[in-house]
Amino acid sequence: MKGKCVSLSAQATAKQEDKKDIDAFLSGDRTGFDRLVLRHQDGIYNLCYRLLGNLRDAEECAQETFLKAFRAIGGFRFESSFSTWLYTIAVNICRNRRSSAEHRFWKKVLRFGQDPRKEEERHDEFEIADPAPSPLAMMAEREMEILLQRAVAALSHDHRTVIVLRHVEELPYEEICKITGYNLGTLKSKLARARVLLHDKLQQELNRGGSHGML
Amino acid sequence: MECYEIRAILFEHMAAEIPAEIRQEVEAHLAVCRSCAMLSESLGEELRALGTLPKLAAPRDLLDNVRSSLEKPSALSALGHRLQSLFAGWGLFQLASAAAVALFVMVTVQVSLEVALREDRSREVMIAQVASPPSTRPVPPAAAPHRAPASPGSPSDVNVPGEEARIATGRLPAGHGPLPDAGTRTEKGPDAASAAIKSPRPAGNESIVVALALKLDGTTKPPAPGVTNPSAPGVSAGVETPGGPSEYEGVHKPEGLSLSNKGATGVGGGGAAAGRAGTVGGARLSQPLGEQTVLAGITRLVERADGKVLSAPPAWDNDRPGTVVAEVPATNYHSFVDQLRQLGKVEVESDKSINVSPDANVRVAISLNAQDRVFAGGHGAGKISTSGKSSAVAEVGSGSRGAGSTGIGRNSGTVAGRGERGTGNVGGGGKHGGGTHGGTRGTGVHGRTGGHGTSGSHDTGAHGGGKGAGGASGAPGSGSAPAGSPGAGGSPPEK
Repeated sequence: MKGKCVSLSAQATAKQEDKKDIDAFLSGDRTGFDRLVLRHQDGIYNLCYRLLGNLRDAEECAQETFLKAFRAIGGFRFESSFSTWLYTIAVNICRNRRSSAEHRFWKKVLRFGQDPRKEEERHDEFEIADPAPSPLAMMAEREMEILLQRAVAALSHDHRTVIVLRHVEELPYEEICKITGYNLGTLKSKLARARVLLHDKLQQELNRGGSHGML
Repeated sequence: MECYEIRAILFEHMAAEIPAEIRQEVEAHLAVCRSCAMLSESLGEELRALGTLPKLAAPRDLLDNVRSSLEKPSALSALGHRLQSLFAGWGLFQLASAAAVALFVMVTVQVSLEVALREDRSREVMIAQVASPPSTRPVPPAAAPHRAPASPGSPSDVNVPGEEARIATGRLPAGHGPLPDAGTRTEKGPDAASAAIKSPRPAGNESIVVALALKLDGTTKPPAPGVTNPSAPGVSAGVETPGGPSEYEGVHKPEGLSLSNKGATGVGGGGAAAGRAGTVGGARLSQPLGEQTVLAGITRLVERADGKVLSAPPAWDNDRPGTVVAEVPATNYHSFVDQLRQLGKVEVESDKSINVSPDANVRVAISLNAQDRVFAGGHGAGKISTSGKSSAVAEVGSGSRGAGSTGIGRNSGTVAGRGERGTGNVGGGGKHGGGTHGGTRGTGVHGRTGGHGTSGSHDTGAHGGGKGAGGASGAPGSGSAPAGSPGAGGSPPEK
């Protein structure tokens, strides 16, 4: 209870800071937008990566998200939090990116062989600081992470979006509804279906032998 | 609850999103059902694993990339900026070019408007002239005696002031300017149907002007000399000549008999110049009643053609031939002319070239004095020379020797009467008489440019320094031009 109150107060503080920076930017202070980017870039970048499964695409989409926000921030009416607004932009950009010809091409390439970008991603992923106590435990977590990422990537965009927003980003239903545009019933239905599919995909990956064929 | 029911709500159970009583049922089932419990544990681990996925740190240069992307202009704006910079140095040139183009357009439009306005104005003037009834111009007392030469060779000059002005307006002169030597030219009626008409332009509802010269045929022939026949339109009544009664058929063709002085003067010649009723050979030629009858006939024809008479002369005589101006629809024009031919011979200016639009009106100027003249002295008479493509009706006087006639010049307007065959007013040219300014082959009324007729024998340059006018009959003509050489004798005019 106490932690929840702290979280709510942190959210409220973040909202106030967002509003202050937005007002500063709209009044001509360019650094206001910089502060907004710095405050939200990790969340947007993570969301893009979970939705796209590719670091480079995630970076490009995150950058594009902030560019769009920069151009459209004049129309932001504070009807939702700034982060929700940014998530909405990012989800749409990732959807477009996944449907783009380039993404389909790389997806096809990944099926038949090694992708140098994939190696890079893996290298980047392994660079992520992980407070795992032991190398074995760290290796197990990495394997689990890779399996989860593969299972999530195997979902459709809608199912992946609701899974990521609900269980990775841990956003409340109300905010997810704002981001996706679903009503609550549709969201829960999609979410339930996405969980089942995710479980099935994960079982398929485990049966296949894990990320390196060892499992 | 069965296993499938429990598995359907396992996620809600884990999320604590189900009511408390259902949650208790789920927990009771999981306690006894190991497979469902294992599934629940597995799903819980998966969801927890999702929640514990590492939070990736955004690239450190993300903000810089965003900044650079914001500062980098878009392709469209870059293109616009590039074009702007490209044409920046050409600003003055562009301004000058635009000004030049605007000036050119303005000048072009203005010139076009002026030309169109000028054409319309000149056309209106000409139409007004045609439509205007013949003016009664007083004969200068000094010139009056010369109008009726009693004998061949006697001066018959008529000096009418203002002649030049009339010429300038494009109308053939009816009266004539100073004729220093009247040896060969006799004056005739004033402004008859000399309609100077420009080439018609078929356009919409515009009126097109056509000049007709009506020459009454035998049906209008007077029954007997000196007898007035009111019932016969346009019949000449008594004929009085200085030398005595004239014979109608003495010289003239039957169709030559007309409303005016036709035949009256020609018979017996005697050198009297025709052209003036009662003074020159032909005495009273047209009786009022006959005039009205002819007018009524023309009016009836016009009305039958769904047209209207715009103006009609109150009367006409030898001196002032009448001109009836009417307007008929273009569709009825030809039928109207055909019916007009029943009244007499109609000399139509070449209306075949008129491309009349169906909704146009044709304004017709009917000269009632267009007829042959007879000249005294037995030199024969001229004839109506109708030629030309346009419209000008050149009224021609008859000289004492020369043969005057009514010519319809080739061209109208300011150069009216420069007919190919039109006879000059005063010049009295014969078959190739000229018009106002002297035609290429004709004789100018006043011969400004001199007469240069192809049949030079009877060309006359009245004032223009041309050659002297020859008599129509071939008698020696007298040059009348001040600067001209004596005219040569002419050959008989073409009949």
